[in-house]
Amino acid sequence: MAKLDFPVGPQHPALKEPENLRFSVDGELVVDADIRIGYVHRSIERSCSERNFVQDLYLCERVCGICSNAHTQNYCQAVEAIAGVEIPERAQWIRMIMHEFERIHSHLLWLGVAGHEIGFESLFMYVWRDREVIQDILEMVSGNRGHYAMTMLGGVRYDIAPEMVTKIREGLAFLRQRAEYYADIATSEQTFLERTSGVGVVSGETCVQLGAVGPVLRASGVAFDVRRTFPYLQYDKVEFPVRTSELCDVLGRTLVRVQEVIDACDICTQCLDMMPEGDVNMRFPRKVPEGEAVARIEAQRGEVIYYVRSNGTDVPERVKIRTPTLANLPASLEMVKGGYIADIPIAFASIDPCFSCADRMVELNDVSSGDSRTMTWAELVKLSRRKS
Amino acid sequence: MARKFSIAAMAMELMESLLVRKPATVMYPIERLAPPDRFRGRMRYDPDSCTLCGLCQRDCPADVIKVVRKRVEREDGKKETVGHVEFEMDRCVFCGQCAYSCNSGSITFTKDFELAQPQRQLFMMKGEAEEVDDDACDADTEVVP
Ligand code: SF4
Ligand code: SF4
Repeated sequence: MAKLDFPVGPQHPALKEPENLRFSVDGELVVDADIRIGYVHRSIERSCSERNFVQDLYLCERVCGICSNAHTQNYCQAVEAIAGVEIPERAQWIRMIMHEFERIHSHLLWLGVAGHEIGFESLFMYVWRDREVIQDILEMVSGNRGHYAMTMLGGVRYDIAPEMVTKIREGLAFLRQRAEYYADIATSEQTFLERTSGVGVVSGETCVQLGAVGPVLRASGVAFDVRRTFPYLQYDKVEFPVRTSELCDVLGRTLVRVQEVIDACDICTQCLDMMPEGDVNMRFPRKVPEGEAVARIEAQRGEVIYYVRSNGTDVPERVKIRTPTLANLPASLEMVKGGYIADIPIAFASIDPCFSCADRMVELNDVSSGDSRTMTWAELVKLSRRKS
Repeated sequence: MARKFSIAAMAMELMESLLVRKPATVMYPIERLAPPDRFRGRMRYDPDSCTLCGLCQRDCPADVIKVVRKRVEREDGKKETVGHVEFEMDRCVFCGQCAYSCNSGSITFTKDFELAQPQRQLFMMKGEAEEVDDDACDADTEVVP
């Protein structure tokens, strides 16, 4: 049978975010795949150089709605490293707790979406119902269900009050028990197994070669977790296993994420036990001394990297962001190759993609002539005002 | 590997869900969930305590706040600074940085979360502040002579 090439997107029903996928299929089998991103470029890095360090905190928070806390933490870590500031110890523990809360909510969100992608709607509903527990905890601690504005330069905005600790412990115990139940479902429920086992396979070696990160890398048998390899905050003081799976498929990625929810509950409990009393923030200089720093953290989707350069003023000269989706995209193309067309949505969803986060640059090319064009800041502002 | 289901267990679960469990959702707007204490809802600005220092404007990431200061002459011939703060609340992302930056506690957030308006103009908020301490003012604020 002759091969057929077809495009999917930028607007399509599988994901809410726009991206253009091109598949080459032979009957029901995908032979080749390619991707074009750049449809939701928001100029965040450039905008960071137009605002002061405090304002950039909230801009970086909006790189991703799901990993918002991971982005502010990473940004703060980079800026604090340039300023040579060590934040109070209690603030470090609270940052860790928020980091793990976010991992729980994100992995549960993903599990629900995975259920939806494979047509297991009841799994989606049950998981999202349970996820409300962690959402309520996040709201209680930070005041918001998303974009928590909890991390700030020099520490965290709010302390965890003693009366909150009991509620948090109860919530974590419930979520841990539910995550164990979902791990059981994932390994024993026939519907789930048939739609995930052996689907979206990519080897550990390929993952390493293509620079995959996070649960995608770990589910292909590579034990790499920034929290363990390059510990930050107080991660060297808590005990947790680096979860891996040798399955290399969607099932493996599911198991790694569900087990990480269980571990995140345990890490939070350890943090609550070990957290000392004290201040949760400190005065941070408005003008950051000249210098540059790179910070990396293990967000729920994988490693996030921030590079910040300061020229001694209160406005950064450069902020560069590398999000995990960008690192995982080449591996995701390998996952769909050789698989069925029907497995494309779940194979892509298994990297937990966030295309808005991944769009870091756009090149304007005239398709007919191949000429590229540069737009000035003023032109971009004018264009955005006209479009909004 | 197939999961084993027992009819009795499923019947028990069904009975429990019908008789004991509460629905996971609420009948909004008849039933409303109470936001937590730290919730950042409708902003409240207190012009009496505001010193027009401009710190909130400097740190607001969404260009919501504009602090306007004027030098006016009083009846007794002395000059004083008055002014007002304008808030374009449709741009606000409710990060709370303005309240954090304000040293006078002039900005607070209430628990009111129903903020929709039919027109953009209705989001504009303005508070006049009278006679402020010049030394407390930040150089960045807009000064109308
Ligand atoms: S920071 Fe506070 S005191 Fe200063 S202008 Fe803003 S509201 Fe007024
Ligand atoms: S809450 Fe944030 S966005 Fe809104 S006015 Fe205050 S600083 Fe600006």
